[in-house]
Amino acid sequence: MKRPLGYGATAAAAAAVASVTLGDFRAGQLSLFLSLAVLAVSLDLVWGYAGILSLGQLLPFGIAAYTTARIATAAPALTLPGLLVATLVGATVAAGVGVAAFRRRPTPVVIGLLTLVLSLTLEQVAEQWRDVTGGFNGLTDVPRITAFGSEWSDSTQDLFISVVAVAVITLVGLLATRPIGAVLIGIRDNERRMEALGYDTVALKVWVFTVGGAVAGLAGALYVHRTGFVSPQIFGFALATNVVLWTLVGGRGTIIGPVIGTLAINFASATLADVWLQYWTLATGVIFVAAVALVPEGLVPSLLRVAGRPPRRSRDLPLLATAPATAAGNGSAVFEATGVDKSFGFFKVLDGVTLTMDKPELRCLIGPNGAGKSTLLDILCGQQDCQNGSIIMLSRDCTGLKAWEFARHGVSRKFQSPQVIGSLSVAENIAVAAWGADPSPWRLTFAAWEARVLPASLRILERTGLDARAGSGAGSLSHGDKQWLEVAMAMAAHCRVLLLDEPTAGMTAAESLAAAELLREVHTDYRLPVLIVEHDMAFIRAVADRVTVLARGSLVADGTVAEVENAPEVVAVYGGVDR
Amino acid sequence: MDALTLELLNGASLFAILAIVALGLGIVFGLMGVINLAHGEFVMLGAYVAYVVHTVGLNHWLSVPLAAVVLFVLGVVIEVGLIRRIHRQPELTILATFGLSVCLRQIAELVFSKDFQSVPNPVPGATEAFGVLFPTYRYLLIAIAAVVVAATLLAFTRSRFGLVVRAIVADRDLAESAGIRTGMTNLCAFGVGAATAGIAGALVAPLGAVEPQAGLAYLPGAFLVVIVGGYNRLWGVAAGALTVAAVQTGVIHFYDAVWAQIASLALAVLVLQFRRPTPAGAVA
Amino acid sequence: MRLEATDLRSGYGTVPVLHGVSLTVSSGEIVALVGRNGAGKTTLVKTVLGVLRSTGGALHLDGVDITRMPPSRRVRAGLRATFQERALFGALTVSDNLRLSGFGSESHDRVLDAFGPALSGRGSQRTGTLSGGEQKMLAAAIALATDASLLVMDEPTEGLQPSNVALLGDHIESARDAGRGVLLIEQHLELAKRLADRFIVLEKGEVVDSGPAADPDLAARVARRLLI
Repeated sequence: MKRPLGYGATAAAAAAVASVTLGDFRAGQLSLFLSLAVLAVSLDLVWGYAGILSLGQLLPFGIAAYTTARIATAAPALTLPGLLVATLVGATVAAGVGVAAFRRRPTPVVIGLLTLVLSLTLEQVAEQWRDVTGGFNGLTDVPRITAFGSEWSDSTQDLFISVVAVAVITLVGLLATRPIGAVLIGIRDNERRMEALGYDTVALKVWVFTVGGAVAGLAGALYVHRTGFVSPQIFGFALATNVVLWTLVGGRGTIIGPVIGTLAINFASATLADVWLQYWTLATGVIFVAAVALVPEGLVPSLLRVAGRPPRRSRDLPLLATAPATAAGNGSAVFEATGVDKSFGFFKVLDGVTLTMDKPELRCLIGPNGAGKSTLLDILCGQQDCQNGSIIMLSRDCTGLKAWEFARHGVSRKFQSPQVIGSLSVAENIAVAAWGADPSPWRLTFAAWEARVLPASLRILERTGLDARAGSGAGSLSHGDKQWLEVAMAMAAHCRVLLLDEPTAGMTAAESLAAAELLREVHTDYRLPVLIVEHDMAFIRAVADRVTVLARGSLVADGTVAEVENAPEVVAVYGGVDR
Repeated sequence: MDALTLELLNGASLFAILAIVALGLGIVFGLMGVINLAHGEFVMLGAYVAYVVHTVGLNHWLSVPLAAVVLFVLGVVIEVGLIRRIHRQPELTILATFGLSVCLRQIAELVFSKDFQSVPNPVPGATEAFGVLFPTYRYLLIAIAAVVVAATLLAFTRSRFGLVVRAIVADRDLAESAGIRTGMTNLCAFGVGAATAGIAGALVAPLGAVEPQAGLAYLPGAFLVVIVGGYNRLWGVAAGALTVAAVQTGVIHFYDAVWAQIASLALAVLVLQFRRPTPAGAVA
Repeated sequence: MRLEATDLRSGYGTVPVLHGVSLTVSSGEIVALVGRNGAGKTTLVKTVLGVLRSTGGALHLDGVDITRMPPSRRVRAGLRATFQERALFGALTVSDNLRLSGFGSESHDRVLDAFGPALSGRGSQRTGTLSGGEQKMLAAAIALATDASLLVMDEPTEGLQPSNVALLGDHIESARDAGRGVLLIEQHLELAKRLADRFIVLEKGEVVDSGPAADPDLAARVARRLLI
């Protein structure tokens, strides 16, 4: 919190001093390039942080620029409020695009192309719609900002634009250090994990796209006041390419990277274009291709890495214990899945499976490969829909709900291969999981840099020694540590029933037995119902109260480990007698 | 009645060109999962091949096979030098080809200048049929496009190469395990995709201006191919591209290019709302 | 022909599955690789064929280092595998699957007739519409009919009826007798005991036991380890 504010204040002061001392020409360049840097930072927020490849960040930028130009021409006295209007226009445009684009979770390629084509289409619309946009030549002679009764001079306006731009960049930088910043990185790195923690990731993406749109809108307003005109090319391919280039070369996922990228390339371009006129555009294209092929993460992160520092500082934060809301299974069943059918094409994976857990217990679900175990687990936590059947979880009919709704209702899930947020620290992973208890973007923006975690989760961290490594990056943990980190994440907030998919995969035999012991301890101490899909019989013998056997999409047997092991149906399934 | 016939014939000739362009995009995307944002620039370069052939005084028809060869070679070079390194990361391929399109446009500008060049019609005059006079060259164009599209589709569906391609589309690892060299096939696919773009460029050169920015017009098509056509199915991609070509040519004729682009955008957004959502996590 | 894996390591993404597996398979022998689900058997098959990149160790085929070769080159060098899942192109016809593996149309009937009437004359059928067991037989039939000198078969009998299991066993034996090497992943212990010359037991991505199949102690240990 303090660092970005300090940097921001220093940078704003430096920009102000530079504006005053550099002379009109350089000060003008600085304010122009800083307003473009705001645009690059808005792209960085949606692309670098939230992972949304937007090639159409010019959409809110350009529309806001046109809006500002019309306002400034029609009512010069309203230019300052006009900046706010431009910000709102940018936000609205982006929100509309976000809702239309993200709902069905298209791939990054589709989103990139959609936003690019939208922008290029708008270029043509702006050329045609002469009454409003001035056609091909655009709107010229846009007045400078007017305030306190008079139109500002160029140098006053340059100073204002530079300082505002630095302030906005600082605000975005602050946002990135808030809990919401870590949550956005979580969505970028692992959207599925975030959904299973209770985040409505589609809504959050629309939110960040809207915020990015607002920032781009303000950038557009500053830009148009600085240049004094706006033409359809503001939506065009050239600028679209460039803003991606600045962000890409500087280093997305850092705030300073795109700012440096924008300033460096633009000052270079302004200097070299005179000498090199013909070749400069070609050079930008070549830099673009080379950056993608050679340093896809960008210069600033690459240089930091070479210098032995991670591009993003993994941070520790206080993890405070909080009391669980209610104990699970007070008399009523933990879950009841009834008559669940699931087919993929013609292949029936689950055929009328009924699985219930009447009281909090440690239950193992076993069966040969292809029995449908993971699919059943997916259905029990909303990761997949079932074709028929009903799912009652913790006394509520959850059939057809989404994964994040299951999670908020108390159904926690650990995936088969460990899904942690590699770019975040161990503590941040737990915090992101804990914040899932109340994941509104505004709260995540203003909440304190600490997390309230259920005690069961803290117990896991403590027993596995992960608490001692709270500040290390989760991506560099060993496989076994990642498994435990994910278990602790699943238990960090609103966890009232825990589903584990092969928690001992990749563990040695000794580690598996230790895992069984720890799970039993947590289960006993917190009365936490647990359903585990496993193959490892030694682990199952050590951990399970009860075992359910699934084969070819149907339940085959159910009972204690000893009962199941000797049941003829089970021997038949595993021994291959019926083949 | 005659006016309508003329409109239909005009539409058919534009559709013919778009069909070849879409075909090339569809091959590259359907086979390799690479969306090539520089495909329009390949078309533009094909047109410049026709321009060069004209300036050195050779027969225009020579430019069609020549453009195919030149672009095939360029495609192979780009596949080996760039696409091969990144083709499993869709986000990087889209950015790389984005940058590539800037390079190709700028190289064309440096070599040929920004000026609009023209290539004379090799078959001036008109042919009377269906009760109307219609430029003979456009008739030829429709015929050639039909042959190129049919031959390419046949090659991809009937020959062993086509079978291999479909196998790779279905399951690359399994194809490798059957002894198929998928890298080699990718090379050919990217080359053939580029070659068809070159053919389209050479054919369309006498109809309009030859200029560095000419390829940009094909970009919306690329996008719509991805959405309408779905993933990794050559026929779906081809069908999607053809739908888009039909919508665009239709609307262009009755309104104008802007409305055509808006219409195809609207179509794409609509299709997007009905697409099966990709599972969360597929993004990461 | 001799396949040699030395300290082979691999996994999925950051998840290690094989923690250094060493084994050899030579011409004229059947080596049964057994182990419970999740032991890493399928991962081993994929790594040996090269569909999965190894993260450490080496693979040699007749002394030639194939560790970094793409699967297609390994196949051309004489290695061939059948996978447990997705072993064929379901969207293509049976004949197309045969063509992809290099069989001219004149040899199709010969391959299809190898398993008795089950597959005969079904060349024009879409492979995905065959039953699971029939697809298994087809995949095995294709692999056995190629001229590959080293076969790696991942659970080829899964889903087969007993008579066909026996038939497939006969085919694998005659492949061995013809001088080919077979690495057989098999959970069907009776069949593995009948066919194998040697056993290798995999557990948690490591070889935990191995020896000649004739050793009664080993057979007892294997049975105990595989008990569900």
